[in-house]
Amino acid sequence: MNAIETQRLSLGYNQFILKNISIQLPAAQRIAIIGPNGAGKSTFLKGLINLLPLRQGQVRFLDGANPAPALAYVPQREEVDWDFPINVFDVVMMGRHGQLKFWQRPNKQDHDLVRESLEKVGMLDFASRQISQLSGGQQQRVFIARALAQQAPITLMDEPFAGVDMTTENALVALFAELKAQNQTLVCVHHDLNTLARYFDWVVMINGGLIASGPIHQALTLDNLQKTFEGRLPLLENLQLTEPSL
Amino acid sequence: MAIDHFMLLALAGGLLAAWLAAPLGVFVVWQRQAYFGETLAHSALLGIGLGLMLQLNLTLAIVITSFLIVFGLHSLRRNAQLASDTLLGILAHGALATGLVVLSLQGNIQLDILGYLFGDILSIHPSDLIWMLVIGLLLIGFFSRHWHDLLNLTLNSELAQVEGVDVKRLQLQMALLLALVIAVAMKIVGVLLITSLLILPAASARRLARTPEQMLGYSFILATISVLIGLTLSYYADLPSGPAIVVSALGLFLLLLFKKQT
Repeated sequence: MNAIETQRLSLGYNQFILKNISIQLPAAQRIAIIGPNGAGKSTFLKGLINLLPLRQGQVRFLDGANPAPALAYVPQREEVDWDFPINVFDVVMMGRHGQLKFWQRPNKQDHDLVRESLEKVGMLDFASRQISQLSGGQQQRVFIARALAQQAPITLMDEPFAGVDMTTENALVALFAELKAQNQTLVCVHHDLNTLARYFDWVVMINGGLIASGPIHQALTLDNLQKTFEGRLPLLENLQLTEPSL
Repeated sequence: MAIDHFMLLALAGGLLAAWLAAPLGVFVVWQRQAYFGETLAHSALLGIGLGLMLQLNLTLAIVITSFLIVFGLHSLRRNAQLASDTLLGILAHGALATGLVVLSLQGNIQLDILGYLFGDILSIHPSDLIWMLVIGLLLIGFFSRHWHDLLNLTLNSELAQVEGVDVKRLQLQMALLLALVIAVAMKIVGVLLITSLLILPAASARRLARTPEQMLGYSFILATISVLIGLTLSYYADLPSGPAIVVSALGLFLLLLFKKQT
């Protein structure tokens, strides 16, 4: 089954940022979108989830499942209003409200799920803390817990590893493993080629258009990397172009 | 007896206006839309000018003008390639200036421009109270239906959209409700002060609140106290009522600055 399928997807405003991307991303994989700065990685992610209007083409989730499946999203940290007067528990619970009708209150199962999700990212002790009082890594983990609590078949994250501490990085890796074990699909914009093969199963390489998409051990070739980064390849000497170690 | 009657109307009008402004005010503060509120308020004066010129009901004329400004802003944001605050500045002051020009063209009508700018609570008519009650019911319906979606979109609008909230529609509905509230509340504090009735109680409430619901509750309480103190001052010290209410709200805000943020 395909988690996400696009046909001739083009995105952009006055001019195209991305053109003609037709791609099939399999379900139950950890998928990384890579490319140089300005290549359109975030644009692609946002186009998939309808945060940017499509210039042309279409996107299908889970082979066109009806109703459309719930999606979980972890935004970039700078895009959240941290002054909002709300505690950690309630932010995660907000993720459950999407599945409730407006007259329904969260039940015990919702509460348990929120607590479990906070536990998994090591934030249960902070449940009653105001979000304005958290460190950057803790803030990130709250939104990861929120995505977890939604139990969505597809989770999308925009650069989840950007500027986080080791605890948060470890929480993310554990979460990735858990999502995979539950046959859920994960799509991340990622920029660190050194950790790519350890954290992900599948890679989508983008630079103004699609360069390659496939399992890491097939798609991550020197040729594809050079096409993607056009001679701006970072830290290539440390990169293992071999089978993933996980 | 006559004074009592006027004071009761003023009190009812003041309280209703403050209660309409309180729930919208918390979202204006959260979503950093103070300048947008200011723009709608300024466009109210254009509404009055056009209403007088075309001999329409003034409240209706203000509402229509504000709606046009909301839609105009929406389309400019997409097409003009200018930052939001620039567009708001152009619309706010453009509408205010055009409004004053249109008003001055109504040569033979005696106008209380100061009343429009700073409010004239003694001009409140029972029909204004009915407008406010109707809009109040609208607000209650809107907020109880969409409360969680609104919180979600305040925290992060992209997240809300991915989770299935119709963000654009909710934002438009909020803007239109704000236009309605400004149209009816401007009689109390006037075009130039109405934004402070929106943001001062909410900004003060932020010092006390630990949840969005608490912030809403404190906003209602602080808005009520501001109106009561302001009108009392206005009655006994013969002060203009709109500025007196705003100064009371400002006093509460300054007092609460001394309190440690929760």
